[in-house]
Amino acid sequence: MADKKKLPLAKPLITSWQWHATLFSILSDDENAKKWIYSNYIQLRCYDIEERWTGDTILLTDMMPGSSSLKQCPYLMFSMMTQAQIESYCGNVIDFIIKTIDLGGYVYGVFDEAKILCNAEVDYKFPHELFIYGYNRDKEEFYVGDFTFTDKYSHNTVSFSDVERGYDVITEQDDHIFKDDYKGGRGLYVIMKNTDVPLYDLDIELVKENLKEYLNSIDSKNHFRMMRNRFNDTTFGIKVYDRALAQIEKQLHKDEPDFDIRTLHIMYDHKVLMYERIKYLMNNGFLKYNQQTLDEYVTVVNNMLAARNLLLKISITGNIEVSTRFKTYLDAAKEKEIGILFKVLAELEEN
Amino acid sequence: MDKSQMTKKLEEVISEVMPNIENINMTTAIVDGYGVNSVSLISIIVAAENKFDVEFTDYELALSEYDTFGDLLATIEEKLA
Repeated sequence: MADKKKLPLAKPLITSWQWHATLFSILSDDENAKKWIYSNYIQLRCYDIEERWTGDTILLTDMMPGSSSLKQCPYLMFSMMTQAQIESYCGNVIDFIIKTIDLGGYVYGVFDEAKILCNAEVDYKFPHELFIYGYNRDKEEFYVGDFTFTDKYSHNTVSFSDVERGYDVITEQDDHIFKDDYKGGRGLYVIMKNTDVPLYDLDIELVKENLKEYLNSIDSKNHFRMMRNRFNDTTFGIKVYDRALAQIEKQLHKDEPDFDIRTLHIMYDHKVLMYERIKYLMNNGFLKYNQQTLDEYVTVVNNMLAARNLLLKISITGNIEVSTRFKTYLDAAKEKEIGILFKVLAELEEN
Repeated sequence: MDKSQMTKKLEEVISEVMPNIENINMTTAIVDGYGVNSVSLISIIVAAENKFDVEFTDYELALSEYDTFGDLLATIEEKLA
């Protein structure tokens, strides 16, 4: 066993949710993986859920594939390890994580981050996904990626003892990833990068299909009914703009305003990724190179960023009177995006 | 207000928002050098708006607009001109 090891890590192109930040931290720089990434992450969806910790209803917005992307991406091998397996194979979670990293496996799972963040014992839990990509035996710490340690997604270190405490207290009920997989139980996931052999070509038919469904706000979950058939109130595609705007108005005008930026942030990341996708399609001969199209799409990205940053600013100043500007930014982004993507789709259909 | 007074005033703002930063330099890269992120930048801008009595547009809140605190100072200077 080495004293110190860090698995390769890229600067993630998007973050938004832990599952995206994890996948893009592993695969952002890989040319093979880009073909899968740009074939997917086109459709947007949102639906109301009750937040586990606060009991509040929040609008959960995500790109498809959502949290299952780690399992479905052909360039990752994603293995579920139950708590019993971890104990049987390695005796304890620390040795399991170190041995997994030695074998080239990233570790992903739910830990109580209240135990990790607070030195003193606290009487509440904050179960959250942690991404572990390295260790340092001398310092007795792991290298991790998460949103919890700073204001945004960052790579950081957590001591062996905090990871162990954060792991031990999570019960089956707390382990929402295992629950989301319909499996129940408690455990961790091992993620191996598998990018040496091309396994997936850019799927231009899927890109076209996804663009049509996005532009026409078509219910894409029907493609996945064999695996999941929950959630009947889902909004898809372009209509997400309207639902997001309604949600912002609602959350800012509550008795205690809620400054949750997650929907606006994932929408911004969606535009960043769409910009990179259009550029990729141009650079690889699927579309004619057109700088004007790229420049125009930058205005979509900038309007979404302005909207997200406005919400951050309101969270600091408390001045919700300026919230009328959200409609300006979202309407401008929506109108411009529809125009550009219909042109992109038409050109793809011609080829 | 001359440039050195403005610099001093901005340094005060930065220190209030990010007290962990020592030796503020107007030419150091703010992301790699000081760990500034979107949230901390907007906090600095809000404090600077109050201190200098200027207003930033929502587009000017983007972290990509500023490589250094000097860039932020230049934007404030333009607004005061």
